[in-house]
Amino acid sequence: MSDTITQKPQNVGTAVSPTAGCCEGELSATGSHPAWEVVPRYQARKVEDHAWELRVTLPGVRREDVSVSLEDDELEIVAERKSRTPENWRRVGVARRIPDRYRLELGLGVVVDPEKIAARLEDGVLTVQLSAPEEARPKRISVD
Amino acid sequence: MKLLRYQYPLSHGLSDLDRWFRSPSEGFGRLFDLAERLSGPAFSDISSENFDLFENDDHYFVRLEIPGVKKEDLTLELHDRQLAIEFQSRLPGQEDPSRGKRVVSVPEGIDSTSVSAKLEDGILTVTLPKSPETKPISVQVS
Repeated sequence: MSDTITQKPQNVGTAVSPTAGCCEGELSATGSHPAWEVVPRYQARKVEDHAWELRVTLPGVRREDVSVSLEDDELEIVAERKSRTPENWRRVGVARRIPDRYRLELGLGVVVDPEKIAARLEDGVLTVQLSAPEEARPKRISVD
Repeated sequence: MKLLRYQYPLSHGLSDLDRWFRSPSEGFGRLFDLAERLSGPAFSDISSENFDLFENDDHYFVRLEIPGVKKEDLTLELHDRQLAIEFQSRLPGQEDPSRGKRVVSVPEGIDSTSVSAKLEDGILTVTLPKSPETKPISVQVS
């Protein structure tokens, strides 16, 4: 039965910066250890022609701690997970790394309209709406 | 002797990824097709990577990451030492909600009459008070 508290290494959020000095064992956000950054899980779908929706799981992140930026065709999402495990909580079972920060970088490959990027964080999920600028969309030409 | 350049067998499995990295200009649609395959199962699925158990002197705390799940779509049941957490999440564009269930064994000695739970920013915390006989007893030295 899968109800034990054994933990595998975090593989959904792939660790990208196991900063020097990191240690084995307890790495909850309580200790004074280097920041632990992971790539969050994400999913995307096409909403309509030239409009897409990206959903990124950011558990434990508050709205004010997320930044979404676009440079050329590179979309970057950085989120700090500031909620900390209370000092007097002791872990039972195997230690698990809890991320301090999530970072997702996606090369979009096409131009999106920076003015029309909308992002919303709800229940630990960030939803980003992206759309191509009008001038980059194909034009329908009527035949007289 | 004739030297032949070794061809990495990238054409298997990684071909889409490889092609995409080589020519990102093929477009956003490609990225998103790729994204769907890379992100695997519905991302609200509960797996063992996102579960923690803590204690202090008076309580045990079960913490589970379930991003995307709303309070009203979550049920908790404690039976003996089994804490069953059932949830569903509705993604836009998805007709049927995806359902998940996680059963967690909790330690013995819990006062099951006053268990409480809180869902915040996609993290569920269940607080399980220890029964009096489980709590540490401080002994006064006279």
